[in-house]
This record gives sequence, C-alpha cells and structure tokens, in this order.
Amino acid sequence: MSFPYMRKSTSEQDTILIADEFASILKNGMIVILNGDLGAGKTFFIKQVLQKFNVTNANSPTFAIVNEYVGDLTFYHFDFYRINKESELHDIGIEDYFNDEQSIIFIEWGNLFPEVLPKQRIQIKIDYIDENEREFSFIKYE
Amino acid sequence: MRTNVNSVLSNMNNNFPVLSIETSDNICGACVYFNKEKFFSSKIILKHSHSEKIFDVIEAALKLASINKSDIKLIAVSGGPGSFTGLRIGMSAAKGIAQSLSIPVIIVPTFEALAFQLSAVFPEQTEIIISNKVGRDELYFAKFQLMSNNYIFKEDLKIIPLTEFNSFSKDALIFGNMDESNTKVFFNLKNISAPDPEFIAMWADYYGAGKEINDIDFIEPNYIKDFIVKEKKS
Repeated sequence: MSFPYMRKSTSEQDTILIADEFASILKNGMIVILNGDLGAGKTFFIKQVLQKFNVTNANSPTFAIVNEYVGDLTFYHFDFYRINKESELHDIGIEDYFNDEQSIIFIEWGNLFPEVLPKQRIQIKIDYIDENEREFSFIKYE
Repeated sequence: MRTNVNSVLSNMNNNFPVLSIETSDNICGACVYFNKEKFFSSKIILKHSHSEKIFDVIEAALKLASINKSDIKLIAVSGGPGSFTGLRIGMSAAKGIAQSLSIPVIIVPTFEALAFQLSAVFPEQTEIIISNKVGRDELYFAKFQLMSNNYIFKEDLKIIPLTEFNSFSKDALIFGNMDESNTKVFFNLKNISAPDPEFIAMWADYYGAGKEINDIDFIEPNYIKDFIVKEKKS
C-alpha cells in the first residue's frame, strides 16, 4: 500500500481485504485516525485489522473513550465522539498514550479534535456511498 | 537557586522522617529520609506499573527504615512536569497518606530535583538540558547550570516543539526520555529522565522550608500543558 491510496468497497468481504492490506503495513509507533459518519464502518474496519494481530475482543470505545488490546502487538483504540472539549483528552492522559511508541494507536472521530493529533499519522476517511458501498481514502502525514 | 542550607535544615527539623514519592516518568519510587546520610529508598522501573506498585514501594521503604507509616512527618512528592498519569498516581498517593496522618505535603519541582541530583555528580559550571516528551510533537525543556551541589536556571521550564530542539546549543549535557530517532541528537545518559526518590526528599530538605502545604484538597501536579489548552469555541 502506498499513500495516498483510494479504494472502493462494495461488500464486507471487500472491506476485509482492504483491512488485510492495511494491516500488513502497520508497525509499532503508528497512529491511525479514522474519520467517517456514524455507520460508515470505522469500528468494523478496525476490528478486521486487529484480527490480523490475533486481537479478537475489539469493540467500540465510544463509552469507554479508550480500549486497550494486547495481541501480537499492543493497541490503543480511542473514540473522540463523546468528548466535549480538548481538556477531557488531557484529563485522561492522552500524551502518555502518544508517548508509548511500543504500541499502535487507532482514533475514531479524530477530526473532532485535530489540534491534539500528532503530525505524523495515517488518516483514513470512510465515505458512505450506499448500504453496501464505501469509499476508503488513506493519507499519510509525515 | 542559592539558599542558606544550614538555616533551612534547622527550620525543617520537625519534619523528619520525610516520605518522598517519585512517579513522574519511568521510575516508581519512594524514600524514607532522615537526612542526607540516612535514608531508605525503594524503586522499580517497569512500564505501566506505577498505579499497581506505588504502595508496594512505599511499604518497602518503610520496612527498610523500620518505621511505621504513622512516624512520617512530611510527604515530598515529585510534582512534575512529567507523565500525566504518573504524576496523578504519585499525587493521589501523597494526598491520601497526608490526609490520613494529618501531615503536610511539599510539591517538589521534578526537573529541579534532577538538576540537584546531577549537581552532585558533574563539575561546577556544567550546563545541562533536561527534556522529556509531551506527546509526539512537543517536549518539556529546561536548561540549568550546575554549581557546587546546587544549580541555577539558564532557561526556564517550558514546552517547545520537537523541531525547535535541534536548534538548541549542544555544548550542554542532555538528559531525557527521547531517543535519537526522534531528535537526531545524541542524548547523554538518556536513560536518566527522572530524579531518584531520595533526591525528591533531599530537595525538600534543602529548599522546602516554608513550602509545606497543609490544605491539600486542591493541590495538583504541574502539568504545564493544562494551561495552554485552547478550548474549542462552541
């Protein structure tokens, strides 16, 4: 996978293939932002990626704000949807998670608080086309 | 910071033994401190363990010193800057113990305690930079000049962008938790990014007179970052 990268998915099976491809480039220290409307499939996509690393308990962290999974690697999975203001992110010690470069971080709804996102990151946008079709775009910020 | 050490020591006489707590970075440590020639430290280095281990290291230090918790007269806690979670763990432990024993707390500036520790090792006039990570793109930064068992600020504590770090003078010795892949700068003894717990106590011993806080309800660590958060306009 080379960036920027665009790909259409017309089925869940297609999305799983895209997730497999994306999983193959992940390594420790990476921060991945996922943007897209409710129901676009952000959590589904992350679940598929994490299965590649033998993480089977991935779930939406909308209410927990952050989940931690340990499989072949360690993952932190954030969801900014329920965050009201930036100081709440500092209150949960988000810098400490960013400092842990022996892990991979996923952030759903990262676009709600762009100012806290590290410069170096991969940003994925999932656009809802219709019930079965999605458009994925991947951008890498250096 | 030049202080008449002898007079400070006599002012602090009623405050010993001190229990100090250091959790600002990789060290999770505690020390029961009577004076600089008699102290009992316990520390571990283990990622993500501070909340689980803080009371174990405190108990270990008390056991080494053969005293009871109720013998402690003062808590000295490492107050930051540093890891958000780490500082909160140390501060919560300090507040809990202080509350239960009705004893005061001194909040020790973490970078100054480390400069103080380094002043015992490096020659006079040595300039040192202490710089630890704040997330991925920023650093806590302070520059000191070491005096004989003392230090002065050359540049005040602040947050700087990672990119700015490379333009700083490199005649100073650099300490911190960055690695070369982030900064392209060689870190001298980079594994030293936090003071040992006995130097938290020793800083309180030397410079803490008058800084005892009895009303501990609202004390909190020096996060720095808190004050520069730009709230989103609704």
